Amino acid sequence: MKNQYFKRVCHNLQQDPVVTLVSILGTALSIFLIMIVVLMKEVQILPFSPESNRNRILHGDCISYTNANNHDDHQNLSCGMLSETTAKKLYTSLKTPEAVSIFQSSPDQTLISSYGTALLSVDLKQTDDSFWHIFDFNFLSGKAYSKSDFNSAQKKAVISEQIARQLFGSINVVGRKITINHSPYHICGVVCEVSNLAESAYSQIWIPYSTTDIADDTWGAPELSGSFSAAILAYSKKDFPKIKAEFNTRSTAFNAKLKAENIRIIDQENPRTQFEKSICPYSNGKPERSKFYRQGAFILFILLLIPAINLSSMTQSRLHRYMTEIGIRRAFGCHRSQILKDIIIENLILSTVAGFVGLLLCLLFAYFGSDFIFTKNWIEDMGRPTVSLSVLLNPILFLLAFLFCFVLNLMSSIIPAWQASHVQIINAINGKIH
Amino acid sequence: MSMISLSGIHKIYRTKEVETQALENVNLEIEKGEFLSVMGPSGCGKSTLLNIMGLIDTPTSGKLIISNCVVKEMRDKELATFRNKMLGFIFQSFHLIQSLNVIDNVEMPLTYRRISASERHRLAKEALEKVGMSHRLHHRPNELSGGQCQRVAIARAIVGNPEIILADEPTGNLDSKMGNEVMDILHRLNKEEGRTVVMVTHNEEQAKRTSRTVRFFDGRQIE
Repeated sequence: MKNQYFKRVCHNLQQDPVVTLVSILGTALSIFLIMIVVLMKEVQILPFSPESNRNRILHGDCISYTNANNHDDHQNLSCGMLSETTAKKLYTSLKTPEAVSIFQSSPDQTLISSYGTALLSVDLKQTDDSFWHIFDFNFLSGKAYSKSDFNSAQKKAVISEQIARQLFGSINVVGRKITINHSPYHICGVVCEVSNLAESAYSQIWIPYSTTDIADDTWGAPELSGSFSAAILAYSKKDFPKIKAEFNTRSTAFNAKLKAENIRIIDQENPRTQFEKSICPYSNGKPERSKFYRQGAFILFILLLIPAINLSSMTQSRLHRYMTEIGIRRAFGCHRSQILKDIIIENLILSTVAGFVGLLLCLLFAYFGSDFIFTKNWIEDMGRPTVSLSVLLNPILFLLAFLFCFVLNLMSSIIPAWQASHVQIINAINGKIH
Repeated sequence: MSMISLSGIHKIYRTKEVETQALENVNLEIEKGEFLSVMGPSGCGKSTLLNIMGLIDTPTSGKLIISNCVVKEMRDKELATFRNKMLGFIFQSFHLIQSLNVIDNVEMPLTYRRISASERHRLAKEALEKVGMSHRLHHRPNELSGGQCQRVAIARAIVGNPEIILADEPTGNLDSKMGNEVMDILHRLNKEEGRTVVMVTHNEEQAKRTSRTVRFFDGRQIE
């Protein structure tokens, strides 16, 4: 019995290759689009090295404040990244987390060189020592700068493998000297390349921020804004409410002190989980989860509905061709429900094939077309985004793909199948749909 | 007790413009083991009658009883099961499923019963042996001649061991030699296996070989 489904699908392919192939490709394209949409969100949320701890990290990226007299949280705001002082007051002093790091929010493009080499323009991020505890970089040689290196402003640098090979032709370069922005540093470690999709950890060179004057680069009154973000590593994500509660206590106390300066920090639901950060990357609003889910559901619905309508009409035209067969089967004892089941299963086979094709298209496009899919305006100068295999081959991604296949199959075949099963048998045998 | 009983059967086809009376007040009793032929000019309603008996069309009014079962009272699933167990249909145009080979076509009615694949295969082979087509199990319908297709259609009709075989001009698309072969098979099924056969035909010679002939004209039984 099961063979009959495959035989009919093969027969349809032989009899009507164009219609069958268009049907498969239409579904495949829909799956491909849905998976790209899902992948674009997944790379922002799923853990991958060196952000393997995303599930345990909270982000304090921004601060919004206004006049203490202004009671409207949506107008007349100042927003931006944190100053070092603000970040320390709000985040470093937290007791509940495993670790807290303060680091430069976005890398700067900086010129570097080594003895005898031309100047290179690279991405440089300035961090504290805890940065290396929170993000799991893969060191090919050497190690990160330590707490004492940071506290004593030792001019040490961690560089990426590509930079090491470009400058020295090797990764065994610990102790070698490089010039960063006309200032000499010693290399203490070399790490594997980091995708710029790891937005918090990404750079090509990392140095202690205590070796520069970035902490002095503040604005706003009284020096609330600057260039820093905070990352908080919890022991477990169950600690998130406790950490947020502790943060709120500190924030309230901080706000009380700012009252004297007529400043009020606005609660924008900081610190944020990786998911909350992905849906609200900006500082001037709270993450709106329900809005995100509504928009996402609408987009997915449209992506499913359009090909479903297309497939439905193709199924209908295919049904015309084997209406006689439906009539014959019913004449020999096939129930209406069996007809429905037969048509749905046949479409399920086609959808499954289409699903595999769609997945393959998605993987190929995500790998080779990542420039197009993943580049955001603010990171477009920061190298080519790369997606790790662990993200692309995520089993949840596959499960979602097959779920969408199944829903697509149902949506496209159920109405034509119902119509076909309710045609008078003699009319069906004579190829009449009504 | 009649195997098939039709009383007061009417069939009217209605479209927006026209109303056509295909059958008018048909009363007919068919006994078990009978070989009945139904004759008449084109458009007289004989195929419509056969379709109604075969439960693939519904009368506008009237009563149909098959093997003591009142058909009107049955739901779709019951009708489907009844068709599968009691009736075997042979069409003038064979109506074999092109995407299936010979053995799969013959097995098809058995797929709607709860029997194993091996049992289905065995019964299908037996049916094909009865019609002399056991040497073409894996051929597709488009690889067979007209006569061979009709033999396969007969095998499909009898594989489920139905009590009633309904044949709508089974030799209409065949030459006389093949037509005679098909008729021999139907007579064998009737005489040796005791199946009730109702056949629509235009062929007087074939009709004479049957146990009884009824004639229709303009939807009414005239003989």
